[in-house]
Amino acid sequence: MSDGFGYVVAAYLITLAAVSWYGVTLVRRIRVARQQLDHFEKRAIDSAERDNTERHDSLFSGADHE
Amino acid sequence: MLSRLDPQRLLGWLTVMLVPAALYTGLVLAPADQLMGDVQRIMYIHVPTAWVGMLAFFLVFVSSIAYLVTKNEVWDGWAVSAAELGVLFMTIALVMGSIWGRSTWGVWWTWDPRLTATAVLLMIYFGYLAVRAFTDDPGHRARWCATIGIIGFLDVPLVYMSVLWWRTLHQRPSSPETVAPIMLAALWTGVITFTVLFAYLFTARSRLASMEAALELKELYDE
Repeated sequence: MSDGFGYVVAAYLITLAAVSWYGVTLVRRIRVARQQLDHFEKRAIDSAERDNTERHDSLFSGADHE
Repeated sequence: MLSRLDPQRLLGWLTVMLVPAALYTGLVLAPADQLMGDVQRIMYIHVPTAWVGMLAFFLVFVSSIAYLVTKNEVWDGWAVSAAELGVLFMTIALVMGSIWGRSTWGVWWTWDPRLTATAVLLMIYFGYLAVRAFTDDPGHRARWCATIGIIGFLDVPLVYMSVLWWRTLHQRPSSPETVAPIMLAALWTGVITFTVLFAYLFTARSRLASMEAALELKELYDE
């Protein structure tokens, strides 16, 4: 092996590190975005359920008064 | 079973299979160059990453035009995904060239037309990503970035032609006739591997782009 092999090893390792870093960061960003979307969805469901309960309560309380 | 065969997963497995092949052909199968020695093996990364970088910037260019014509946000998502990957791969290509240059030319960097045009290209797309990061309004952001994506691409042909138009230290493109078949096989394996890797990362990144767009809409609706 010639003297240049050290440069070759460094070059291949740098490439591997750069692509791996990007890949790991991308996976983390996707996971965070998915969690945030789930959070919004859960909040929307909770809010819809609360609205339904309130509507249900007011409907029945109205019926009692009559 | 069908869900296991989705394109992204398929590309991921293809990449996993191709990487060892590229390492084997580049580091073991191809012989050391007669004049440059082992350091020439850096070309099996330098050339494929430069090719993928240019492919990515071409994709930014096409997606930017498509966005300005249709105003469909999917194109904007494609453009930012390709720009981010273009910056990643072109930076790797530049660093690989620099390491090779240190061993062959004796310097890490020289203001050669090819190198300078590539550095300018990288600056343009770093600027593109900065504009995206610092602009809050989605409509303005997409429009401004599409404009940068189209104008910035003008530098790509300049990078490619620089070695033909000016007397440069950087070598001219090699033709298959001047490269030994075994070295050409290593080069093609590298090109195919990095292209598949790019396609895999692009599908993942554009999925993130669509999730971010959905989140931004929900946040706007919440306000």
